[in-house]
Amino acid sequence: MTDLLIAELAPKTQDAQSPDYPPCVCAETTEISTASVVEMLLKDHGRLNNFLRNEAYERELVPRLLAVALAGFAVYGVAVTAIINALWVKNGFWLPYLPPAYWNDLSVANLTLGYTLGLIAANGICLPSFYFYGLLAGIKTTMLGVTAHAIKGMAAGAVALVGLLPIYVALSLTSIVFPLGKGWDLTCVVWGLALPFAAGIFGAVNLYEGFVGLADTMTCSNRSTRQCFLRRLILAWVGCSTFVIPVVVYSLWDFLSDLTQQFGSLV
Amino acid sequence: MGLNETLIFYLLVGVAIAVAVFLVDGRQNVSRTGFLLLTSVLFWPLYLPLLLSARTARDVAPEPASKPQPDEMASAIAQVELELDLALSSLGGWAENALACEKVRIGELRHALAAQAARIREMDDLLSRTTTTQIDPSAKPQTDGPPVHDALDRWQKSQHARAQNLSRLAQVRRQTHADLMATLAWIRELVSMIHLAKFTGAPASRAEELVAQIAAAVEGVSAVAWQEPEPLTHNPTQSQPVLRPWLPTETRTVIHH
Repeated sequence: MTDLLIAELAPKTQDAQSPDYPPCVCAETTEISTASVVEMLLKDHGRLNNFLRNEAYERELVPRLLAVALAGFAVYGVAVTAIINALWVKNGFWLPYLPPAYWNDLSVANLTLGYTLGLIAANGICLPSFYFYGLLAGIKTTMLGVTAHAIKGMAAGAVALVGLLPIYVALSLTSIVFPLGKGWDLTCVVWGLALPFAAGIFGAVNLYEGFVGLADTMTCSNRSTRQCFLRRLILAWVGCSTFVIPVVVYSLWDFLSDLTQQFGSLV
Repeated sequence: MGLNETLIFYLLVGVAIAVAVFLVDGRQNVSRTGFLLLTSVLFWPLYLPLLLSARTARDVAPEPASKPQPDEMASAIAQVELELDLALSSLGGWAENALACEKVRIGELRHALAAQAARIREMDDLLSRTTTTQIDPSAKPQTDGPPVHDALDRWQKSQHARAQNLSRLAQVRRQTHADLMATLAWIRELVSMIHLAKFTGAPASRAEELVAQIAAAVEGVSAVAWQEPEPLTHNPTQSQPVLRPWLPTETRTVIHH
């Protein structure tokens, strides 16, 4: 019977590889491009999570996910800089205590750099605690795996941010075109600055899914007791990075403002 | 130390990491190398794990030419997993809840199948190694002096017991292999039932029931994988039917040795 079953199954394995559902044994031959990474972030988290279980793919995916995150945050930074400057020129509104990012001097790139570098640097700062939490929960992972998952969450947030950006731009344009008052200007600027955190929820959910999926590396006896613990630790890590990110972004933006001011006075 | 000094040290470490990244990955296309160098200076904490794991990753992913071909069991498991994935993905829009409830157990089932296949391979390896040293219970040890009858008797008994144990191990291997194949066949049968249920307009509860039955197969696989090797009391030459206890009554399969 067993020979018959094998004979029935074996020939099919050669041609039954659907592109939508590649079996694990063939995944090692799949080429990954940055565009396909974006597509997987949006449509097929499970497949991306599967790739992130393979160390060879982790090495390939880390720079690509980083590129997606950087591109997303850079697009966001340019758009928000343009909007808050348009509000400043049109209505003379600049949020109090907001460091400069004026488009007519050297500080023009401060917001973009502050968010792009700050968001990813904050992730790097929180990375060791994320690794530690994983080990504490008992999952079998490496530092590279944890890094890949963290950057995947960041990239997913960046993709969501780019998706939300047109809606934000459309709403903000109303306050530039129509005189809707200072309250609406304030709302637009605050929402612009908070948008990466709103989009970050998508990234956090993505990260949560991927990392909780690693619970199957625990032994069966540990899984029932520790999976819940793992969930709480991931939530704690997301909470921790939510506090760290604004501090890093603001510090960096403020530092860049001082730097550009000093450089401007020298020039 | 202020932020300026911290940044200088940070960037210095970043430059060192960038050089290391260039030495490891730098011989690719220019744009990729440029991106790697720039980002590794700025975000070196993210590249450090990548560098530290470089050697192990290379060890883990051997050259395709030297990669061992998947054996029959691996091919069979891969095929069944493929069909299972297809069936589970077809639940979307019809009975997603069924999958959500059993996701963990289906994951366990995959691991259990792989573990059982690994166990069989281990037994194969062991049997192939032990059969190279031929066991002849009737052979006598070579001694210089006259043989001592008690010792000779003990030696022959030990040899006989060893041969019996190996024979039993071979039987356990056959049984485990048959169990694995039966489980795979059972999963395929359930997968076909899912497809049938979907296209004959069965209620979502039917899908939940079938998915639960697939997930329940893990108990049978795990029980086989972890059970103590009990002494076999039946004669393997006789055709004794063995019922799979984890299967439902109406679809219980019978395997003949």
